[in-house]
Amino acid sequence: MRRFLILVFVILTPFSAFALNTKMVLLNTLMPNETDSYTYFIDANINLSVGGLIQSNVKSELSVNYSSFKQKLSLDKAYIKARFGKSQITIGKTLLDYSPFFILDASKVLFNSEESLFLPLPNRWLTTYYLSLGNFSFLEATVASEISQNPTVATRYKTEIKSLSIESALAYRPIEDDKMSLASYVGVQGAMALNWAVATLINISPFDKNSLLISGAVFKPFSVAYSDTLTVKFESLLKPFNIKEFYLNCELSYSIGNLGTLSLIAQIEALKESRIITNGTFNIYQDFFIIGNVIIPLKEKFLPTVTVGFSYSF
Amino acid sequence: MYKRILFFGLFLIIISSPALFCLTAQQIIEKAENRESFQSTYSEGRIVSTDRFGSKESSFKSWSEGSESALLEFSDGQRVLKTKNDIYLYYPDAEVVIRLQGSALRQSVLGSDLSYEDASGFGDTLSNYDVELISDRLLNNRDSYLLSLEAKSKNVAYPKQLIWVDKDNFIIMRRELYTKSNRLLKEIEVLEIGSFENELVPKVTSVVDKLKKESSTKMYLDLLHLNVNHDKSLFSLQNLTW
Repeated sequence: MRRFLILVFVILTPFSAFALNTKMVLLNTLMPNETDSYTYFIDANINLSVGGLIQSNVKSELSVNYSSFKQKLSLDKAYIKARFGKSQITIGKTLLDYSPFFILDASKVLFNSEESLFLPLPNRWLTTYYLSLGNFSFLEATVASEISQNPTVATRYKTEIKSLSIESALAYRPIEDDKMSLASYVGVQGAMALNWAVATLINISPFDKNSLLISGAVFKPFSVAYSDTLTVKFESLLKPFNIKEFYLNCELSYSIGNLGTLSLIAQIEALKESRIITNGTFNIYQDFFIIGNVIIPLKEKFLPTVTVGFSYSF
Repeated sequence: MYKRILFFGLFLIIISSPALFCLTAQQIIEKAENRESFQSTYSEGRIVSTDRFGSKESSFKSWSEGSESALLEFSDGQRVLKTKNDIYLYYPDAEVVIRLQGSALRQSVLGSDLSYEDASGFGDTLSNYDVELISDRLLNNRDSYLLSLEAKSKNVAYPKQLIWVDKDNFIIMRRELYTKSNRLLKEIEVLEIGSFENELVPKVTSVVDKLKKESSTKMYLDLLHLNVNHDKSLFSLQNLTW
């Protein structure tokens, strides 16, 4: 605890003159266990962010998570970011995700195992250098490490040509059995009639054609009445040389003005486990949200995992 | 002879006076929009939104270049970037950039009565609306022009509008925003005019979303610098995601 307080002090001290934003999340979960009964646990997260305003050149974020299931307090995020003109450096533990809006983008495989494609990417200890090359172009180089693995080294270039957002990346990262592999990633996103994204990834050294992944996504929001929105999103990821292994994510979300959003999601993993998810978020008081979701696995026993909680920002 | 010239002169003045002093609806809109458009601005202000639970204040900073580029930053780190064709929104929590489209543009800014579309300006009125001068009206004891606007296409947030333009300073003092079937959606009214760098601009503005119960928003402009030299890289992805 003492080490944790020292870390908080070190990270927040340079920003004491800046505005501080805080977000708290508390989730109660009932999860089926091996004996077909239920286990109850609590997840609590508190996030402090300091600086990061356009007129400041430093930014920091600290996020701590407690899970009664794992019975431990963990550091979710702790980073400091500084910029000098067009250059930017990030040091610490934070998200490394080239396509955070999509769940099934091929870029996820650069930083995650294919075993857990539907799970959000874990935050990682990293050092990133970012160089702005224009209003909508940049070059980024990252060294990310995991305690049990060799570090991942990745470079990314992103630009916009007319209404197309194009990015390419090279990543030298550990794969199974502690072997290293150099992978190449290319992604394109556009918005003509509907929003779409296409991405591909392949291991180029050692070359392995079976590692080729292609992902595609489309989504479109439809106006309903005056202030409601129905959003349809469809994502897929497949291996052209192993056509039986594919992943689908289908989402239907309805936003009721500013009151909240209801979502129905089907996550299909061929050869593995699929699931249906219902999500609900309701803004009942200014920055206070009630959150709930039910995850129903599509296997022999349809025992759902139920989570209810809240988030509050101030 | 002199009497003839005097009579002819008076006749000319009388027949030409309506053309000299009565503006058309298009001219009124042009004058109102011209006085609102500055080469570049930097501003600071506050948004106070009130609902049945109480009031919440958020501060903002805004940079603009012409009518095509703008960057808006709120005190919680949320940012909006407007370019010639698009509006981008950055959510610092999820570190996600979203290009706002369709009804997503009508979502509320920080839970206020103001939408992202409202915050990014009402655009070129004469390209988007047929305008008609209804009458001269008094609004808060000031002489105003009352104009009716009807959308030329479906690509606008508000199919019908009524606007009140102050006759003295051509500030749009009030807007009533309607659906095509004349349902009142929103009321925007200037409550106080302020002078910044010798220009009169709305200082306190009230926005009421009529679809929300017991909700209202007041926007306060605390600081405005005009014709500021912005770095061209200001309206960039780097600043949006910083």
